[in-house]
Amino acid sequence: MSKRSIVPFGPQHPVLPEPIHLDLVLEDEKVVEAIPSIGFVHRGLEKLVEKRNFHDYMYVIERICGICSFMHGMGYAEGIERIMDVEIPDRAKYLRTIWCEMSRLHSHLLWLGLLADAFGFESLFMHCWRMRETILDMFEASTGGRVIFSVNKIGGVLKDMDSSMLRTFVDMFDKMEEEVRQLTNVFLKDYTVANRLKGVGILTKEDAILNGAVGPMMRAAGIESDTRKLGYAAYGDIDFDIITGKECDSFARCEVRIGEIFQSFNIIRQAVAKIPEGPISVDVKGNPNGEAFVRLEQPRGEAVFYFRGDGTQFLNRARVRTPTFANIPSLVKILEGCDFADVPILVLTIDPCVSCTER
Amino acid sequence: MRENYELKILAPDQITIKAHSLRNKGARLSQICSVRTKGGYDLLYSYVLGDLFKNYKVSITEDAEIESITAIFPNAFLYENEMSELFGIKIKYIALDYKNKLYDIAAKTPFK
Amino acid sequence: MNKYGSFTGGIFKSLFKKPATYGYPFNKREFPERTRGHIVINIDDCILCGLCEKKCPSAAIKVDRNKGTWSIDRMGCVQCENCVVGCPKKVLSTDVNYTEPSTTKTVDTFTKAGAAISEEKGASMPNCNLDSCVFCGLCAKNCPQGALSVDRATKSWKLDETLCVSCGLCVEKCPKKCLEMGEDKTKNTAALAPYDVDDLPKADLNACVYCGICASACPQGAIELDRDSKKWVVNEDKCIHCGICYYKCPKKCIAMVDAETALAVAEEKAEDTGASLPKADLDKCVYCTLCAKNCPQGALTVDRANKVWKLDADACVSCGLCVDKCPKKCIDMSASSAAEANEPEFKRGYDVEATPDANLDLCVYCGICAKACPQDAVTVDRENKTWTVDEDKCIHCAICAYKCPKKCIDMK
Repeated sequence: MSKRSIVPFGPQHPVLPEPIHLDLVLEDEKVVEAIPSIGFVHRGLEKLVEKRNFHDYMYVIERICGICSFMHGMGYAEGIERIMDVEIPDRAKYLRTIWCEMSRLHSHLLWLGLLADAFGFESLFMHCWRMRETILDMFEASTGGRVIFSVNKIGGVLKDMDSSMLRTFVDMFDKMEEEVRQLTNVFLKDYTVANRLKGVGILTKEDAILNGAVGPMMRAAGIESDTRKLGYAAYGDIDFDIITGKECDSFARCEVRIGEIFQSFNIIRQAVAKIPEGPISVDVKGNPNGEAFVRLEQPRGEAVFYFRGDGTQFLNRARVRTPTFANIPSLVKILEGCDFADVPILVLTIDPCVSCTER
Repeated sequence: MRENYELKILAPDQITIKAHSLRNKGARLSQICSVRTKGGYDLLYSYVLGDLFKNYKVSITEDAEIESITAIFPNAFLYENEMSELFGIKIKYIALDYKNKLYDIAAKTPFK
Repeated sequence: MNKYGSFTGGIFKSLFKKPATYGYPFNKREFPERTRGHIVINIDDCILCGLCEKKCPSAAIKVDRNKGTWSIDRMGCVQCENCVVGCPKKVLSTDVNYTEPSTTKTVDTFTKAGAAISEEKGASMPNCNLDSCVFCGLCAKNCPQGALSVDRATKSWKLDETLCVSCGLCVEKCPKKCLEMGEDKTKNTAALAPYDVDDLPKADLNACVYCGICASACPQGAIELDRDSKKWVVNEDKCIHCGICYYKCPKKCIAMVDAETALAVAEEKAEDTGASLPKADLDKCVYCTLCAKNCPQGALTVDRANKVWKLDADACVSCGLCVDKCPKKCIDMSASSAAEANEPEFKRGYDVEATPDANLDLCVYCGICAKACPQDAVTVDRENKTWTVDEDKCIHCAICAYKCPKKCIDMK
């Protein structure tokens, strides 16, 4: 048995600006154990719920994450609507669905760019992010914000997209889909990418369940599970298949995310075709009294929201279990036995969002 | 459409037993969280079994000590560390105990 | 697509494309209409109510009423637009251009012209019509400044004029519409305290008709009243001085007076004149039944179908509520006996079977008659200048004739 050494990894990273720290126990070049540490960016946003009016807390919960900020706001709105038994108008449901899928698109394009950057494919990284920029522009045109959208409200949404705007978006997505396909072909076909990803970081189906993996991490292990199938927002009216992988390795995770990009284009097109006319919000009176769980499929996987109110304008508890929080144990699992040089890529394949994780 | 999940009450000594039976059925631990109540805590264990979302509520008193389920579901270590650090809930036998060093926080047990 | 050089095509294409970036700061970006850049305020119309300060999730807005300033910490603002949505006067809006970069934390302060404030302060404040106020407290709950205090138990509605910002939110929220913004502040102070907090009610037995409305309205059951023995007594221990009896008395014969006066031995009521019983002018009556519904004694019977208005003189307490409630003002207290009240001479201005007929020379086709018709028998088409009545539907109530502003409808 060779000598063991411990290498601290992070929170300042070679690859990604995510403050996660790993203590890697190495045996020669192989990682035998990894101990994760987080806690560098804990902001206590969950605690703030006791100090903010439940309507205003929307603006706080959106700031949990800069990428799925829309979905955090939506999860909160769905949770409070569930407690207060508010049924939102159909148009608001479709608008939420469209913005959700746009969030997923830009999140996955961001991740593809970061992955390309991680294995040293600089120009591919730039092309991915150029594409993502277009989606941010669409967000700005429709909601007014590029990162934090502030467009959700308890009882619906605050801004409407008229039919001409929706049509422009669909045209842009049609054009973009062609370009994205050329780009993703590089990921799927190029031998340099395959050499870095195939057979690396295998998370078997059993391990995925045991370690509570969620989202593309879990689907790449061949588990067919997608919270969107629960039919929240307008997903119940939309036809889509769950994308799964077979190989359980990093390449499968990349494949699943690429598949989801095209799936998102498809969902947006369906939603735009089906969106009904009507109001976009209903008035909400009173204060929430009760508790509710909400599950949403964020780009990184299943997020669990839990809210409890006691009939005052301040909630008792708001709990957000973000997907990265659930994926860290799986990360530790796939790091065991990998090469030291693969650690950055493996950290990336869970698509970590540590500021989400710590809230 | 809203998801129909189940929410059942569980006795504190049933936590590990329930976790065992769910693991044998192939469930995944989705999350654990706690809520401060008057004189104690509500712990909420959520499992996903296929399409089902199963939740168990365990009410404990302030100074009760519960058993960790990290031996059954290894991913519980983050949730349990978070609970003991932010709420001050006493949990024994956590596989990887950060000893209140998970988060870098100024106040001790801020949610208590 | 092959294993090698799969990206070559893309690379070559982008060699000849325009760059995806632009040369900031020389080329400025054009923002879409909805971009939330920074908050702007139209300070002249601002009433400094402070709602935006309360709504701001990042506490970036400060409103100082005394100095007349509205200030925003530009670095603290998170551009959530919550203040814009919540502004009652819609003086806030978002500009598409981002906040100017700065090396220090900038606070922008806007000052409202000082003179205007003190002037406006005197100008318009909410007044409460305490007669219709139900002391629900909604106005106080919605007051952004906490200037209103409403106490249901003591029936008080108070305005702290130093705090009031004249935003008018209370007027909007009032469910009874008994609030209005006015200059006359004396109005509510006068109405505010018609009696002291520990005053007891005392009925003027000369005017009292022993209708019992006060006793049934009393939340404490403090009023004891007997019609036969002409007794009206208030129980001092039970009375909570709420004044509900004072407001409810149809004859306005209850006064809130200090305890000593109230408990002084009640003077005997003068001999009952027996004079007044209600009598309806059946020419005008539309048999709406409002009088019967409001009669505390159930002394009135109104049958719309058979056009009957009948008074049970024995039950009638001469309270006069029916007179107050009659929308047509066709009831007066002129009868002195049961016979007179129910006088059967139905001097109807029209025959029972008469149907309305409009004089189309005078008719302006306003449609009021059509709206008033309880049976939808009248149809008015303004564009084609037609006025028709469906004789099968018509119940000959003549409401249309009464409602006609031009008096051009006759019952024929």
